[in-house]
Amino acid sequence: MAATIEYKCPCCGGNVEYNASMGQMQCPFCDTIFDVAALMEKDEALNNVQPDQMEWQTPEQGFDPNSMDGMNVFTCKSCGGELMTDANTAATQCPFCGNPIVLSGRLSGALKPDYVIPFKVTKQQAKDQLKQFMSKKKLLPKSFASDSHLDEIKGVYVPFWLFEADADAHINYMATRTRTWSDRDFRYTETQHYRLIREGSVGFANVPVDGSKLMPDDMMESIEPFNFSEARPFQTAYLSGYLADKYDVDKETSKGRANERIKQTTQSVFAGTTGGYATVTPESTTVNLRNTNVHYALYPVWLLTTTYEGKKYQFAMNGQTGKFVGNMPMDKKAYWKWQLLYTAMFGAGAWVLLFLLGKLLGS
Amino acid sequence: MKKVFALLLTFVLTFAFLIPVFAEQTETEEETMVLFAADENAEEGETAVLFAADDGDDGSEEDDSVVLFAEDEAKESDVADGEILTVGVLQHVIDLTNGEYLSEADRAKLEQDAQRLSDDFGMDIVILINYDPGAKTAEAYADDYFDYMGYGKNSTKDGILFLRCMESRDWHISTCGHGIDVFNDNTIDYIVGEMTDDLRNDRLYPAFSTFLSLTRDCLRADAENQPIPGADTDNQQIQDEDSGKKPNIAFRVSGILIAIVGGFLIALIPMSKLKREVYNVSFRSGAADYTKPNSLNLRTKQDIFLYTNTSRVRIEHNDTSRSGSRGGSSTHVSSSGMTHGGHGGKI
Repeated sequence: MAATIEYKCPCCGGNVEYNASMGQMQCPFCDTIFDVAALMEKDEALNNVQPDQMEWQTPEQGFDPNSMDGMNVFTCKSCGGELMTDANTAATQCPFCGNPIVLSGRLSGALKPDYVIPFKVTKQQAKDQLKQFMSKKKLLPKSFASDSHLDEIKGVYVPFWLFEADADAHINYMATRTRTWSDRDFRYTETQHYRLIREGSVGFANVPVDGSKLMPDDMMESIEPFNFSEARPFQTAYLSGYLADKYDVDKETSKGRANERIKQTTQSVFAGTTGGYATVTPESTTVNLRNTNVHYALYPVWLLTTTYEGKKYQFAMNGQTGKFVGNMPMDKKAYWKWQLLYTAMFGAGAWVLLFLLGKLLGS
Repeated sequence: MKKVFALLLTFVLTFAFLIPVFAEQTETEEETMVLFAADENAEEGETAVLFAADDGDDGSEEDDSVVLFAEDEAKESDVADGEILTVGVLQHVIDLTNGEYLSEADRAKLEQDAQRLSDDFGMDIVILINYDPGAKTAEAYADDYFDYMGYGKNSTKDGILFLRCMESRDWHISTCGHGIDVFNDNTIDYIVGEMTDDLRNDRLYPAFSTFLSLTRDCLRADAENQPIPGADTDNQQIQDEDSGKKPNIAFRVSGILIAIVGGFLIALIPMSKLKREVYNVSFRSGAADYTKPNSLNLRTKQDIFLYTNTSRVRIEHNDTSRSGSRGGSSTHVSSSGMTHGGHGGKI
């Protein structure tokens, strides 16, 4: 069984890539367009349940496999060049000829993703977004946009665990309602105390948890949400031209994060049903999950790395929605300048208000 | 004869405590003496009944002042039962310093003005000058002099007394009856404010001329139902310059501080938005985007009433904070039991 899958254009022999803006496979050389589904038979081999296969191709120089733990070497079918990848890489590009390579061994059997959301945003769009992201930010040092340079931009399919569950919750609250009135001598406050009981369920689907150790989890959560309605059953064709990683955080470990998020939202949904009270405090909360299901999916992310004043800054862009995030340095001077400006503005407003109030009460 | 002596003695002993106070009283133009009609049936040691008597000015007893005691020693007097002794008219300007600060001519002039003023408005206007109030407070001295000397017209004892102590530098205005209403604390401050310079420099005649003139203005305004000069608290004139500024400055400074702090805190809101433009990577708190639409199935929704709790807070009423105040006058009760208004100070 072939360790790598490559898609050759039947017209010109070039390597076909998944075109994000068109949503179809396109040969970048002769511009011929192919339907993704048509290339499905190439994937049939993946359906055979195989034990985890890492096909080793050791170079002749007496390369010691143990010293490169987790690193593997593959040979490019097009140019014969050898490429080294880490244990998780599932799709990559040949560093010599740029040929997209899909490492099927990493995507078969238990490792086969259930779904993939194909890229919708192109590389050029990602670059443009970065430029836009760096502009018009009041607290960004002025030189950031001009002095930073883009080191690397890569489109990666990031492995995610998608959790589905029905959350059964039973929450008790203590709530109060108040009423005030006064007569000539006293001001009265009446507080009525209630117990609120809410019991029911909320359904969740496709709650994503980052399955890659390398990808910073907070960054992956920041570019959410991903719209699952555009997900497709997995086909390696989508990966062609992009990088992809298989998961290295298993679903058991990821469950904790999913539960946390599900519980949080369940609590807030239930709290939303307790209207009409002055104060509401949860007294006891129980959340149980049933009908749980976990899927494995690859989601598209553009990763950009820039260097500014010797420091590296990483940006991520949701390859489906275009949402752009990334931490940038903050210009402290600009921060205080704006803080002072706003303080003066609101302070003047507050002073005028107090002045008017004083006049009103004094008269 | 014996009865007369006994009654005289009783009176003297009753008011013996006043002796050192009034020991320095100067001779008056007319002899003032205890006036009373003897009660034939009084025994030795009993207090006698007092009657008003004609002081000779208009042939009637009405409105004639009665002095309770005049001399500092009991005197046997050949007075027959029922005989009416001549009595002196109460003075309105009393100088217990014996002319040291005020010439007799000036005093007489003031006396005339004060007398006329008192008659015109039906209220006793009294000016009293001494060295110092001795063991008493200036307030007690003024109140007692007014009460025990019998000042105050009508049953309500309407009047105002200005006490000036030349050595202790006290001044005190004591009001009684309708005087409390006409001369409230602000008006008193206003009047004294106009007199301050003259009092400080011991120019008594100008000071008291001012006093009588301003008092006349106030009484006239009161009679005509006009606002009394100086009574309004917002009146710039009556506010002492220093005390007026202090609360104002404190208010302004605290107002500015509150505005700055408030502005700083409110400014944090747009600043946090600006910060998020630059620091925007964070974990998401929930999974709100991934709820199945319309999947909320609330099987139990119960709101159970438990109990109710009512608390109350007493409302502060401003008018109780100044006990017994009337229209801006703080009042107190003197040793004789009369209610007096007014206040004093040092110049």
